[in-house]
Amino acid sequence: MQYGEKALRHERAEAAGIGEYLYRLSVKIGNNGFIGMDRVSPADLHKSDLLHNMYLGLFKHMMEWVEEFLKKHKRRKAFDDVCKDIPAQPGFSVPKQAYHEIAQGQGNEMRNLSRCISAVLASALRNLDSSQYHHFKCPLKCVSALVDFSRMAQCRSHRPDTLSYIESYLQTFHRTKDIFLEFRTSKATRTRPDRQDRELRELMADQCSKEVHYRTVTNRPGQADQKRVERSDLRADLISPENHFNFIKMHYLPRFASNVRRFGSISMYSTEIRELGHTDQIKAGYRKSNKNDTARQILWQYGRQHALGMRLQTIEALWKVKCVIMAEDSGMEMPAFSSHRTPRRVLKGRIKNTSTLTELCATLNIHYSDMMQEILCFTRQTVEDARRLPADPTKVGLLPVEGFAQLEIPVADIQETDRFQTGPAALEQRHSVTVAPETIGYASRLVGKRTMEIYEDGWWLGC
Amino acid sequence: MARLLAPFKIRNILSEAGAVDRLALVCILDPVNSGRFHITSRHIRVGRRVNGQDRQIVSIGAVIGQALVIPSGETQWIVNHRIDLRTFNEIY
Repeated sequence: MQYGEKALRHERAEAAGIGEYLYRLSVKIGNNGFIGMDRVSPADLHKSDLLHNMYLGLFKHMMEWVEEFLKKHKRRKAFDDVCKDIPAQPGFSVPKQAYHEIAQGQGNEMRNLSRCISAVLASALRNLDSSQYHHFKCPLKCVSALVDFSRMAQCRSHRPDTLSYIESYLQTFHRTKDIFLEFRTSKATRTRPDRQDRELRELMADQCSKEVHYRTVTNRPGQADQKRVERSDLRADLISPENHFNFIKMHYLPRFASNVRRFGSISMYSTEIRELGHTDQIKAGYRKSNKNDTARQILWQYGRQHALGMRLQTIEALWKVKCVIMAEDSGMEMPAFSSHRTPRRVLKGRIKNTSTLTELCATLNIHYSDMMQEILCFTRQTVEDARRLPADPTKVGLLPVEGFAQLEIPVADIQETDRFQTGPAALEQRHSVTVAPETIGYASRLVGKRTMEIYEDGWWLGC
Repeated sequence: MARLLAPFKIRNILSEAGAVDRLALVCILDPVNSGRFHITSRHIRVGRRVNGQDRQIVSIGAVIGQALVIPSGETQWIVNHRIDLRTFNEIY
């Protein structure tokens, strides 16, 4: 279809040949093995890919721009300090070293970075004065727009609204990305200004050596600074017209929304899933093999694992439809349960020597009277009489207590609300948690109200 | 929004039922700018409570999830709602 349109335009353009016409459009013509195949459109073979287009593609480029930007505005140290202070989160690996210290960013590192970069950058660019505020607004907007774009591209099902969000985030990114244009300098672009800069420096050094008799000791540093600024400005003037955002990864972005419309959700054909499969499908099998005829052993091992996994999924699916399964040999009935079973909150990691409130307070380094006051306050709020703790502080102090280090909370998976993430999703002690709005003050209730609005709307709350 | 300090169990042996309460001591953080999004970065910020009592005991049933907060100065944190698609959908 696309080739047809191009050929039609070529006829209208009356160029000497299609090759010449495409050359004018800066299209390179190469041999493609798929061209002769029936029902194959080579133009449709490439699909949008989160791993290579976003994380290893544009995010990697963007991190280079951000690094340069922070270096220019002397905020790189603040950025690295914030990175080190990021608390742990289930499913999120905290960066162990600063970005510029990473030798080669893999998909995992870049994915993690994309999850925290906007907040870390916002924190690094804090305490601005009025002159800086306008200048720092654009990079924040640009980075946030790209992160939001990648988040929306991860959705497993889309509506027209979500696709319009993808497009609007992309527009915001394109509108604000010019702030990073000065850092889009390739090696080839840098060569000519570097040579000119070197020549200019030598020329200035010659002039200085001739004028040395007329200069005083006090004005020498000032003159050197002035010349350095002149040279820097000249270099910037030479480089800036050569900078551009015309590179291949940038041209993939507008195709995300259209690919969703034509082929479905991006996560279905993203190479991320396949590359993650290398660990289970190949590497695990290789490690378990005796290293002789490994290909065969890898296939056997994965075949067995896959068959067992399928079997377990079948059993789970049968349970979900509330079937009562009769065990084949024993004739025993296996109990059925509802598909909407919600896992409970679980307290984990018992702290030793916390059998009374006094001991718990000593462990937590909290004053006993403060703790008692809070418990009495909680007791007054408890509605149910049978469960109410004693109002007498002496009696409360005698009650047995157990302190814990972790609280595991089931979190419903997005767009698959009957699935819950537990296990590693444990809340470690001293991490921040979100508390239900009715338990805390008015200001927090505003945040809670916003959350309620999202639930009532069913899907999305506009910004 | 609150900071989890200590989850604990307390058994009420003085009542007939002998019920066990699963509680948590939390340090309450107040939303900055009434919980509105920051104009530039589009993040919600929370800070230490300046006036009133900042510690509270709540039932662990009231804890609905974990938030990733990035420190922004000594007394403020940025709520990172872009950590995953679920949080992004719920907060933004």
